[in-house]
Amino acid sequence: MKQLLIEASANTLAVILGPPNANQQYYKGYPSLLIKEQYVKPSFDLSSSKMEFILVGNIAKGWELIQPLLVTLEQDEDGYYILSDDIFQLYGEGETELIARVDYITTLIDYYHLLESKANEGDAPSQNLSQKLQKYLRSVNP
Amino acid sequence: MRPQEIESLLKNKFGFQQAKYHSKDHRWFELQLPDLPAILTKVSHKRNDISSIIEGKIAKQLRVKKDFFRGMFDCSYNRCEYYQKVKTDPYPPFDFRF
Repeated sequence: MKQLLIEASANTLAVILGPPNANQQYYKGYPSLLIKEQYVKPSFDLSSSKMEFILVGNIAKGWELIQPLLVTLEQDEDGYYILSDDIFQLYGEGETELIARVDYITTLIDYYHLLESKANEGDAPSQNLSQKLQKYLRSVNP
Repeated sequence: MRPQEIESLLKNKFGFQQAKYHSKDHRWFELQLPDLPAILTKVSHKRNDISSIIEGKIAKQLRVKKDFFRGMFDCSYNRCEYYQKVKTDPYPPFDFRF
């Protein structure tokens, strides 16, 4: 399983961190991940493999991942892309990698609001889980 | 398995409620069991049928393995058995990877 380190921000769909030359070489087969502010449908075949990404930084307007979050991209039998994590058990899906990514981020923010709502009701286990999520995700002034 | 079927069974058989909070994109369902964090699951309506991979993702949100999840929907497991499973042997555990 390949592991890519990317930073997604409001203005940049995917920025690869680390030494440029090494990344250029390493990610040669994945052009969509090298392009800033423009998304190209990836041409690589995911049918027999998964790819791992690390999301970190500004993931949406007003939202920041303050701790790297490992996510996995895979493709199902219908060709849909699915992005998911193994910490909060969330997923996003879509006809393209970008749609799946946006769906995942929307889901993550939904989850934040849902847990916050349960925590505000005084549910202690949900408060605990909400605090753990807040170690990863926080609302920031846009 | 269709999203509507999953929603119906979650609500009618397993006691989930549609979450008060919802975004325009997702419909969430929640179950509150004593001494456990709220079990929250998102049912996607992007397709008519839920794929096998998505089944696995929903199963994890419900804190059971995929085989158990399928058993919940083919009447192998009832509400009490599901609650017992989540309380005694959740998969993944609630503190998984924290």
